[in-house]
Amino acid sequence: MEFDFVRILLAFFSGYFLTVSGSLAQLSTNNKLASSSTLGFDGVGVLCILAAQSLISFFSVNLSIENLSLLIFGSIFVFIIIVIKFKKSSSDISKNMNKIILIGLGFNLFIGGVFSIIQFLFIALNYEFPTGIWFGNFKQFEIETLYLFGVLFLVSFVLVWRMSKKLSFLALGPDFAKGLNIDVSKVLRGSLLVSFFLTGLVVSYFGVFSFIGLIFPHILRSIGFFKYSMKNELIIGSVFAGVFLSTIDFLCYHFTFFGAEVPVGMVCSVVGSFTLLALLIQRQSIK
Amino acid sequence: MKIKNQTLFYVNSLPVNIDIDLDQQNGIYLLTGENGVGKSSLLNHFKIHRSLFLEKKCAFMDQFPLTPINEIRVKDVLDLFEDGIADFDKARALSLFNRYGLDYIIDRSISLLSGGENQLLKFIFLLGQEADIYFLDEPLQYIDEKRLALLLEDIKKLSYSKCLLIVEHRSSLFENLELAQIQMQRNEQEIIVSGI
Repeated sequence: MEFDFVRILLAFFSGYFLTVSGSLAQLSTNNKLASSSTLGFDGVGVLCILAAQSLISFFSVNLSIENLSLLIFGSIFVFIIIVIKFKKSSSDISKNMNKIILIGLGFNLFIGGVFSIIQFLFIALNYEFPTGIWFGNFKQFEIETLYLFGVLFLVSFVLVWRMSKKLSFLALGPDFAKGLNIDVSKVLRGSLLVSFFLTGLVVSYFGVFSFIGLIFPHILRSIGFFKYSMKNELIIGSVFAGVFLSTIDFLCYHFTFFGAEVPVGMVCSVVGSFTLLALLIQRQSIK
Repeated sequence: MKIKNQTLFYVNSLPVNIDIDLDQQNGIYLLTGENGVGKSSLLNHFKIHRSLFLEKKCAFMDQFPLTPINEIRVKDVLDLFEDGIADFDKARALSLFNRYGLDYIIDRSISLLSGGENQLLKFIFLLGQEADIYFLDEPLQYIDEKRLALLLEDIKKLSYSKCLLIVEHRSSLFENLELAQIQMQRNEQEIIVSGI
């Protein structure tokens, strides 16, 4: 049995990023059902892929769709950072979370519609369309991607470690954390930016992996070591999620369906939705 | 701390005009006002703008219950406080659990606590912190009679050496205590915060 270590590592990093992103989304909104999808972060990644495919099809840009999409996402992220730096807002972001969730949900639905229209147009006009993006996979990558993801893994690991104490207090509620002299607006802005970046990074390069950011934090919280500690969930739990995703991807690669590799993103969607139902039913029966 | 006729923030687009002295080293200031006038918003403003109190350390107790997104237990939060909050006296906090008959909740998840237990827990976290000024937003809601007497006793003891600002609708509960009153009143143009 062959082991593609580059692919295994990339799947690991992606699982880690998506789980951290999901935990941060739930923490920031103080809402257990929040995820990077409900905040619209997946949608930005998909938009980058669509923009990249359009540039390649209509303007013959000589870059792979994955690299171009990542470049577009990187530019969007840098632009957002610049806007935030220049437009220093004094408003209490914790009071605007419901608005942010509604905007994110609306944006994601909007992107779903845009995706359908663009898919139709591309196919009707006989242009190549990345139909696989809706279910992410790790089939296409370059070795340079591994270096980038590796560096970002280390940076995000250290960043989350340093923020973990404040995030643990934030997990008790933003008003409570404010009372402890924690700059909640700053922590929330940082958390949302990190969540956005990590999700956009994975989705813009590899496609959509539904439910990982929503389900994995819940799975972790059903295990003793993680359920009592936000620090353990964020730092160690996310590593387990990375191992899990790389294992599932490994199995998808080696056990094909009539010769076709099942995209790991599809497996995540199906398994994730059933797992969520099972967890919700289990929690109801305990109460 | 003195704030003289300043508008520091807005509640429902009305400017909140503040004219108060919190210059006592100890004692109780009782903040009263009708529902929705902005008492909690005032405390929220103080939380974010602690520079108003110069070098004085402030500690806050919210009116809203603790709502963790995970199953964190009371003892885990005590460890968090010990590790993350300077001047937090864990031994004092544990003695208060004993005083209020709440030793049994130390191993319990916060999400499983009743309203009264949640309220007492916040009070214990507050008293475990060493501060110069303590802000309490409706600290006595959901508390049973037996523990209410203990809480009032502890508030009274604390007020001998520290300054307390308490938001409470039922001022009759404090009739046996010496206190200064601050009122929040709303008219069509503004909300006025002033001493009585």
